[in-house]
Amino acid sequence: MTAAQMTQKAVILSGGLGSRLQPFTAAIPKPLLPVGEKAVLEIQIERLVRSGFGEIYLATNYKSGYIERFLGDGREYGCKLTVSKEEKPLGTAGPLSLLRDELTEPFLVMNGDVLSLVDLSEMYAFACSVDAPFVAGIKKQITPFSFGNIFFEGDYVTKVEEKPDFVTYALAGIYVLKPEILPLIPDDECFGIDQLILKAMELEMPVAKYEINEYWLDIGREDDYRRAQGDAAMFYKDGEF
Amino acid sequence: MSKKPKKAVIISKDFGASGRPLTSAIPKSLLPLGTSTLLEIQLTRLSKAGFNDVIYFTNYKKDYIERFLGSGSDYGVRLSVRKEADETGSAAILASIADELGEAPFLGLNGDILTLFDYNKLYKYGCAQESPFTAGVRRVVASSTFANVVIDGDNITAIMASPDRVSYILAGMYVFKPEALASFATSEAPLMEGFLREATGKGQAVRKFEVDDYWLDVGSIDDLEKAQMDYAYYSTGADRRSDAL
Repeated sequence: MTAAQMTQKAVILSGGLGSRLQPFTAAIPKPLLPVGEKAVLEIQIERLVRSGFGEIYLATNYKSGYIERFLGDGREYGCKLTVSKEEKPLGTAGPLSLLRDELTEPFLVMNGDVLSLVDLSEMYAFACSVDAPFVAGIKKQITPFSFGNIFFEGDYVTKVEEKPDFVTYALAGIYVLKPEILPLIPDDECFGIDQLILKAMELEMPVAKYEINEYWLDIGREDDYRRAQGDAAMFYKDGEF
Repeated sequence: MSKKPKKAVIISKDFGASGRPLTSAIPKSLLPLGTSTLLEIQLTRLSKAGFNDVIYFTNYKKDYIERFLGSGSDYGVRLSVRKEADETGSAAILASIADELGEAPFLGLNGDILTLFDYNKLYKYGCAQESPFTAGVRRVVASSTFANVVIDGDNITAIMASPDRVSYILAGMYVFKPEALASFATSEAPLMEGFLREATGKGQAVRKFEVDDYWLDVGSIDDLEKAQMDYAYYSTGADRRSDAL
């Protein structure tokens, strides 16, 4: 690994209230919820470090003190951890406005409630190679449809599709951004990643996608958090995670 | 009063992976009571009572608990989180740390107890006893709602109110003197309770002290719901006390 790679920066959005996981998140902030014996945030940090991200910013707000105490300065994880605390909730893109001076190279942004086995260094390399200031990780969502789908013209059936799946793509909560996108984020204002993407498109800036084919889970809902527990073994297997 | 830090040992027995889905993900001692947790409340109350040196034994997710609480300084204690080697919570654990516990009596706590009781009352009493064992006890009254009928053959001869049945249970808090430890180096007795069972079995004197304040054993998930309501009542409710949880 070269020195240049070691300075790759990442921001983990760790300020959410986790209201869908009440009452557990009243005591433990969502990014610190355990999956196995590690916190979600810990699993993410370890994976980022292994992918060459040596400087990680934790954008915090709710129960920030717990997060700081849990993770320390990052030395144990082999990186430099910096807590960037919002005085008020700034949404999913707003916290980046506090880090304008630090984010001078392409950087990765990750939601604090996502677990994934995606190859982060590959995603980062792809983003650097493509001409777009914003690269969004996307995850295919398949919703099974349990009926035959029929097509017709006038009174005549033209086509029958047997139980097709509905396929959509979700924003995966993992992004690579380049510094030239930062001026689009307002200061001191709650501003979402979705708003940022729309604004970029309005200004005709290209927005690229990167499809995540690997394991991916958002623990924000109770049943998904529960599923993560069952998957925990996979995260720990042979230091895979 | 001596300035020496008083020591407390908490032994926690978690449901482990057999708990209900989410409670098995989160260690029992870190399940929510309002915005706090059982263990955080215990540490804060121990600190207020002058127990600044706390050793916490758990059979579940030790590393996570250790990271979550840090050094304990935010709660006013010096905290050491340990894994129970044999996961039985046996009294032998206490014997195994005899050197650390030193010469002074120490407080032993069951990790499941939520209480407003002042640990120091028990501690002072225990220190003053000759016996190396003092157990906090809790008076439990079981009252019958039915009248008691006295019969003689086919005849009712009297109708009497049923007496309340009064019994005492262990309150999950103890004071042990160091000399008590030696005899338990090879003990198989589970938890601190078994420790006392063995002591009484050997005919050793064991003192009791009644815990007469709010007290709840959060042994099951149903108890946790009660604990959550009680905590809301004592920490924010109309009856908020100066020494609230």
